[in-house]
Amino acid sequence: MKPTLDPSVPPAAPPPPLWRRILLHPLMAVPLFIVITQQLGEKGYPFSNFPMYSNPSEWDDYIYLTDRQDQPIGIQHHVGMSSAKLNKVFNNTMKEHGLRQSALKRNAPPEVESKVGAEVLIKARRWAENRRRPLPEPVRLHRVIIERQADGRLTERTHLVTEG
Amino acid sequence: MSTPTFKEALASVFRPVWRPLPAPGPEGFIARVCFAALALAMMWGLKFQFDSQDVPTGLAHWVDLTFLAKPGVMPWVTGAFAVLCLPYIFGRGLGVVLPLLTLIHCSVFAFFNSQGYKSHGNQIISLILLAQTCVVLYFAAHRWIKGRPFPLRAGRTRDSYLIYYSQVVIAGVYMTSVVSKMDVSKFRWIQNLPNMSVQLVKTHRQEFYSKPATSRVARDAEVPAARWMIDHPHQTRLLLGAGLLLEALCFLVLANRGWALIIGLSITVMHLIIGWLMRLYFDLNVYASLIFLINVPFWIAWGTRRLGDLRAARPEAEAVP
Repeated sequence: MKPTLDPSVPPAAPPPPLWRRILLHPLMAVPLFIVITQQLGEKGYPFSNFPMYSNPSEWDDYIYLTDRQDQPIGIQHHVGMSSAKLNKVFNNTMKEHGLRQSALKRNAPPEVESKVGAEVLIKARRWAENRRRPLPEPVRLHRVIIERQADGRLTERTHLVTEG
Repeated sequence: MSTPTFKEALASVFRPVWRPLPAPGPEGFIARVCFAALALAMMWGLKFQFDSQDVPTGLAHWVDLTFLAKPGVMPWVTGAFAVLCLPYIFGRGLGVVLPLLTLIHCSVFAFFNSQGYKSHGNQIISLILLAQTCVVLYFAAHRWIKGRPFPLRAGRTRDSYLIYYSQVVIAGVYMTSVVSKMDVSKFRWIQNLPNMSVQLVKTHRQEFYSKPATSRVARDAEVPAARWMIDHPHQTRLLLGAGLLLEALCFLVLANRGWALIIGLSITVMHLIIGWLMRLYFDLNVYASLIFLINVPFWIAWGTRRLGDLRAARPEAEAVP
């Protein structure tokens, strides 16, 4: 049957071009999200590029606190954060002192490391006092370097960074 | 009209759509109840010991958020968040309520993350709130600029879009992590995986030193999984590489409910394994998957409907000689 042309019915709008349909597809929100997160990195909360464990290296480090008798101090109880978070504060302070690259951090000069440790201890002490759970006097900050040796052994080297 | 067989019904939930899906009945309401409860639970009782924002991130770049650490402020902030959760749950005034919820959540956790460490736990909640805010503001802007409501596809509601863009965030979070792994490791992530044994030892030690008095991990205890990784580098690559593949395939959650369920369950299993292996717990990611990907209420409703169909079809089948 031949269609009749009704002048009262407006003609249907032509479909949008392919590029527009692709660009405006709801799925395009995913690549947009990835581009934004990669550009902002860790500086634009709530966005993050989620770089955890993005480059497993043959070495890593952690810190811990002890009293004078080298008995471990509960970081969570006193400072109100996990040992992992305090370690991130330590590593971030290392970066502020110019130790950005992995090799520099691994073999950090003792005097710089001690300065970084002292700064972290000051913060930790302040946070513990704000929680009314002060750290004992003095506190020792130790750093452990874990390394995967060529023969497959895992070694842990512990040294005292600072005391204060 | 004949009732679809179980196979046909199952095929329909695996039909690729890649767009917001109808959110029938109370699905959107239940998702909002669960999500609000999750977000509120993370704010409840939160108190800050910090009095500065030494390494600002997000809003902390422009606003001094240290007022959040002042005595008595956080209970009010949490209270306001709780009050705003009520209209959010009932879907009332979302154009105002969601931006406020997002602003509060992002401010609180931007301050939390401005102390020299990055904690990714609450990020997924803030991002979902932000995505949902974008949806309601887009709808409002459409109505304001074009003078008519946003044209919804057949069967779709605003909840369809809120759920879809929450899924976009979950998929995006995992997929951007894949991009970061490839970028930072210069495409050597899989090759370097046996080094994860070092991280395994580290996370075990850190668990001890966080709570030495109550830790279930001994101070210098052997970590058998780390030893296994060193002794079995290829199996390690296969096992952990599967996790990377899963993260890369997360865009499939946007195809349909079937894939959302499969990927959601796989993400949950992956995080349970990571928790067991590395003592790193991503509970909020698991709960977000449970709410927006696995979507238990939908599958209960779907299963009940299919059972009803089967019961209805049985007398007909019995009547046929």
